[in-house]
Amino acid sequence: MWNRIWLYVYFTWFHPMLKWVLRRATGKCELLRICCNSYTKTGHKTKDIENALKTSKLRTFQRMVVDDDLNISEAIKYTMSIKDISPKIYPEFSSTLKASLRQISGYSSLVRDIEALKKEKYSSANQSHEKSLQKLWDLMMPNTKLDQRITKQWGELGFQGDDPATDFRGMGILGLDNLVFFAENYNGEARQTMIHSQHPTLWYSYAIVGINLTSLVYDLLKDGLLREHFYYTITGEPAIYHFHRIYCQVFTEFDRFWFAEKPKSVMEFGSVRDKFEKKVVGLLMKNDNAILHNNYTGMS
Amino acid sequence: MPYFLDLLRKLKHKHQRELRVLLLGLDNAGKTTILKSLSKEGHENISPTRGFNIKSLKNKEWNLNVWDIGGQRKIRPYWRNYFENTDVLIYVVDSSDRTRFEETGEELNELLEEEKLQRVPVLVFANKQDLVGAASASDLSDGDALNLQSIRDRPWQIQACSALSGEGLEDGLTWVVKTINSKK
Repeated sequence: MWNRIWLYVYFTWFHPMLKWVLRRATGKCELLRICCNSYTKTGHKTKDIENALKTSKLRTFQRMVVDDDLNISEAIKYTMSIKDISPKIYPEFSSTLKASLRQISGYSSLVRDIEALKKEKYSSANQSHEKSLQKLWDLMMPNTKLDQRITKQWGELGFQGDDPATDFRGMGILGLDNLVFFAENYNGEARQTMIHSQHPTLWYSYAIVGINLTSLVYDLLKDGLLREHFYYTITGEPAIYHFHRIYCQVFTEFDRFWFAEKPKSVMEFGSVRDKFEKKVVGLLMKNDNAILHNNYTGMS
Repeated sequence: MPYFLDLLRKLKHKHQRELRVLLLGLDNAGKTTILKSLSKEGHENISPTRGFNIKSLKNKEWNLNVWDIGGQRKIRPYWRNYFENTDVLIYVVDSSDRTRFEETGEELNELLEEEKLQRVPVLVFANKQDLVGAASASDLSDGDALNLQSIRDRPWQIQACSALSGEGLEDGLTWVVKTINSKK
């Protein structure tokens, strides 16, 4: 309650006043101050620019944060004219703002692209979906041939029944793409994780848990919790590839977490998953990227 | 669902009663979607259930604690851990998947033979009526696979529904509450 009142007072009174005083004192607007400041990490700069845009009184600035198809050069032109910034006096302004806007609007574009993959339902009539599914099998089970398309063998990969088509549910093709990316780019880790999942007492279903983790990472993205992580770790726009990579890290981390928790059975999945999510969110909020550690950054 | 809520309010009980409802059925029958639909949540983000979900559907007098338990064959052995003190069993069938009618019938009949579920009223939701080719509720109840007509030891009901549109769910729950009310 007090917290909300304080935030209200801060944003409607103190913050604009502070901006006004600083503008008078330095002769620079907020965006210009941020862009001319020498930050230790570029991600911080982007974060500050994002906040400045979000709290701006101008709709056009607010929209720059959520626009998933932002025309960046137009946005820079607009900013420089409205804020009256001379390129001769501040030559670095436009390039700095450009770098940050690419990160900021790139995130919104990524949300849009990931959403589209999630909405694409798995269809057995779609040849590319079918190929992808076969590919998943071949990568995960290089020594066993899949006898036929509909078979109990899918159970070995951790699907529910004899046809994985019904298991992707609300995660659509995104769920399958995540699993294939993990199997293709970190084959050793993926197969190791699958072997772990077949533990006699602590077993879980590899593919089904994988699809549940797609849902978890999707929620993180949608809630904007990956924004800062991307600002600090990627120059330019984040791509679908980066989403997949976080997924792989989250999956490996979940596997570790699951065995450390020693659940009585797979029926405890829900509570372990929730606990795991809290941990990941906590680390992302603290901006401590330990959980998304660097095991995977070696890959390019 | 105004009618269902009215009915709940009319019930005589002064104190809120806890009811334990078990939601079972094969994988991909639509159990979680039904639960989400009943609690007015979106169902765009569902993944297959590992373990279980619990939701409380509350009003003044009743608190339905609905246990939605994963339906995959591999986790069906765990179903029995949740049988104790069940007031009502809701069994969900994918009416469009004819290839699995036999399997779903076998599971249901096994459940009905469980000692801990003796005399527990059973509501069968004939789900996915929105799909072309879905079997009707009467086809299912008269067919050999489910064999509902032979149930003699408990109240039972089959209700056609679509978890996606929400159609039929309210009628099903209305039956549940009525049945329990007449029992107590």
